[in-house]
Amino acid sequence: MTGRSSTERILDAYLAPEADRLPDRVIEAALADVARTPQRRALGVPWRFTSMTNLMRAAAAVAIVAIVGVGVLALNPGIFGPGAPTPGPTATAAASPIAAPTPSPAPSEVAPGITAWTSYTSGVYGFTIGYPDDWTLAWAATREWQAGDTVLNAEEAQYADTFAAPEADTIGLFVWEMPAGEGADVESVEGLKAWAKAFCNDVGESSCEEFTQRAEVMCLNAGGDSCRAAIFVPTAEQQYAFFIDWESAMVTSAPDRVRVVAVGREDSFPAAARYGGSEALLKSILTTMDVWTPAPGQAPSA
Amino acid sequence: MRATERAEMDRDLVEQAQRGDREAFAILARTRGDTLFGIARRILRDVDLAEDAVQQTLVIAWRELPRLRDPDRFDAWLQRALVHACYAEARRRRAWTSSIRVLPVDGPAAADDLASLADRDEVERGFRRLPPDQRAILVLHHYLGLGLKEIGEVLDIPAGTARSRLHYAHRAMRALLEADARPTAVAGGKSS
Repeated sequence: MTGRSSTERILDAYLAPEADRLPDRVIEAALADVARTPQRRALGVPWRFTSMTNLMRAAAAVAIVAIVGVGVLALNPGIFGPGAPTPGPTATAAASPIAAPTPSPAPSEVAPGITAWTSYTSGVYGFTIGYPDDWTLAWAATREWQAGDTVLNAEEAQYADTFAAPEADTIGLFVWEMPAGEGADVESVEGLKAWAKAFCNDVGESSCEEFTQRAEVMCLNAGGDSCRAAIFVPTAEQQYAFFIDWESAMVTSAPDRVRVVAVGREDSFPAAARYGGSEALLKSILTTMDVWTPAPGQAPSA
Repeated sequence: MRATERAEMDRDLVEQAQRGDREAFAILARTRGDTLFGIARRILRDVDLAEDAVQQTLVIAWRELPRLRDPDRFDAWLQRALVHACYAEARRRRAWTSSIRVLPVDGPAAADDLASLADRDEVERGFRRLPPDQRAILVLHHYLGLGLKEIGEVLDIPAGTARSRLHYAHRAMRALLEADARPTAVAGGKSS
């Protein structure tokens, strides 16, 4: 390194270490405040929206495509099947242990560590989801996602229904909907991957090409044995799933909302171990929204 | 105690505090307090404001600690919280005047580049006219002795950004010193 400039030498001297001593009364006052202050639970708040994609801007202006982000929840469709939403945000404990999921389109994906479900219907979005009965509703969405929404955390995530595992170092499950965008194809796997890639860019995830390459095809059970496109995207730090709001799609000419479910923890996160990891946890939760791993030979129909 | 042993002990304390152990947090607060105060005092140039910033930082740190994902980064994370608290204090006290009240911030007396009281006053005036973010990066570099990578960790910016910000802060400080040295230099002005 070359010699320091005169300005740097002046600052070295001016800002040099000396006997700084914080008065004890300041520490004691801080610790007294600490004694009255509860700690925030870490939900693994995973992302922030850095900008709005053109796709989303257009969508926000024209139509509402619901992208519901749901973290990790497994819902038994026999208990929480579509068509039985209840008004307003509600949480109802399911009294019985989880029944085996319906044989079609996939065998049970319910993770170990989940013994019963609590049903919840979003007052804002209308979806019904199940979360493990020892979890809690951290906060209910109070409004829909809208352009300009940024950080998803306890104070600002008014657009996401959010659930928390009981551990102190806990797991957060986030579910919400976002506009898919005018003309966006969210009914095919490739279309959902393209949308997810835009989402990836928007939330500041890294390696968005890999983001979609990692996507696993899932089936959204839209009645009978049908399989509609859904994708599951595991990443190093959190897990996502994207699929359309099928109930809305049934009454509109094209699906205009996508449901996004996200778990803000990596697969090896300690509190997720009892579920076999956060990926297994999210896949379990997705079953409560009728999203399954395709059975052999099964593929989504566009 | 060896550095590795101390690091392990610190990590244990942070993890205990993350789980809600207030005694562990108290130990962390007491061992970091003086350094935090030194940083805040240099950024804010006001003892009372610095004390407020440190107190606020410790409470925020306790509240948010469960969200810290890597306990080994506790110090950088804590210092980041402090820098933001200093920004907040500075915003609240925008009425400071930079040229009238020079606080008795005791500095090293024998430094060659800061030999006279007049020089020290010039530096003080110049430093006070810098915006808080430039003061912060200068304090991290010249007081804590952090390199660009470490500054980046504290300020949550890439090392390249830290380099450019440090460069601009040096340049701004040099310009202020040169302006103060000229007979026509403006004597007043407000600092944030």
